[in-house]
Amino acid sequence: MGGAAATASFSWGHPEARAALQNCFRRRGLFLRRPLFQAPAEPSSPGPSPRLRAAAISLLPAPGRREAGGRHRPMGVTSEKLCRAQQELHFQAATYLCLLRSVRHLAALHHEYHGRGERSPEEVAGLVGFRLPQQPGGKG
Amino acid sequence: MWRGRCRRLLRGCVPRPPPDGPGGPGGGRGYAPPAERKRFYQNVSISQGEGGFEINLDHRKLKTPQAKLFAVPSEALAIAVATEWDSQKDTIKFYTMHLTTLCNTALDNPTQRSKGQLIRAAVKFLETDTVWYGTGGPSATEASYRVEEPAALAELQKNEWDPIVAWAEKRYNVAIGSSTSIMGPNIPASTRDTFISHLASYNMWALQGIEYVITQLKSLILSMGLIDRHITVEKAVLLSRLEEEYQIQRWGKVEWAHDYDLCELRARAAAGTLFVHLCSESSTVKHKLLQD
Repeated sequence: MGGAAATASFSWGHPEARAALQNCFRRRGLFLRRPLFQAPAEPSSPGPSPRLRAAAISLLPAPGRREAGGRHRPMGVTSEKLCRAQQELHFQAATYLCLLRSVRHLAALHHEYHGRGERSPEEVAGLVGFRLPQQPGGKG
Repeated sequence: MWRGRCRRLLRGCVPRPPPDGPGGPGGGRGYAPPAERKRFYQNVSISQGEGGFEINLDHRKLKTPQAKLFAVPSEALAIAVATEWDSQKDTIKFYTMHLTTLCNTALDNPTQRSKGQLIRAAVKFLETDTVWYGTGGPSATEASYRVEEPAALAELQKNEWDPIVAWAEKRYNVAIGSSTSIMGPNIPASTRDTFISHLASYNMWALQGIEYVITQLKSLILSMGLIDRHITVEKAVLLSRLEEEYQIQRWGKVEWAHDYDLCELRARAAAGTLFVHLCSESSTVKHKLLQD
């Protein structure tokens, strides 16, 4: 379960990442009137003191500690969360895609290879140039 | 089974096709595949009724082969079924409509099985689960019943199946074990009871779906891996057909058989998994009060 937290896909709220992106845009002359994405509220100064935070993080199990530390600040708190609904939706979408793809492929294979049955007597006669006799009153 | 009943599918909606044999009224002898129904509707839509969400083909309501009204509990499932009907061009190919088939089975329950019977049928697959019958050479420390001859196959099975068995043991807190005899491993009763009680937590519709997936993949472990979203459909199908894939790599592929089997298994497993997930979820809408 702890390992699952590491697979959270992205963090909009990481301040370094956001700053780097904005710098990149500024250098290219693109001026952002407002941020490209809304970051969730950052844990700023109101909150536990750094020492208390560090102490709390040290109590976490090792993966949590590493993940909570973030890439650049070993004692910082991250805003990444495990979004289970996102993963569930992704799985459902992947499953549906597999269903549609395989049904389409199956229909193509069926069309290509499935037997078309025997020819009717009329068609067989037509192959050698004959026509079946027409008997309006039935046989006999 | 449903292909045979497809003519009664819309008994209440459309007149029956003329009962001519393939050879004509003169007493034909040839075989022709049964004539497919043409697509007789333009629009497909869904609507909500008392029993659930219903499908409308033009203005007519869809019915099951036993002439019950087709109603599903989930809107997403109804949309998926409507998409299946809508994607039929010219003729209706019932063998591509897996979700419709599953819904019909759940609604009609033609084999009249109760929840307990379904669960027992599902857990019965545990004894002859696909992931048991792997390969293990003389060097295998886990004495699991596995084919010995092709060493590459032994290695492949050990690498592919062991992780999923380990995951299942950890996830369900059971001892699955392994054995060397041809009868397969001895499953302890506690393991069986765990799975029975786990499956009992699903509703009837979801159980029909689970039993369907197990029957297709021939493995309870792989089906549980799919339901728990641990492995993807492609991976589950690959694990189920591991030996075939090995032989295909070795000897070559016959497209009209191997590909057909692969696509069919993928379609069915995907449909079953989707069906289970859509039947087990529920959604609620909570309106927030606007604050001035």
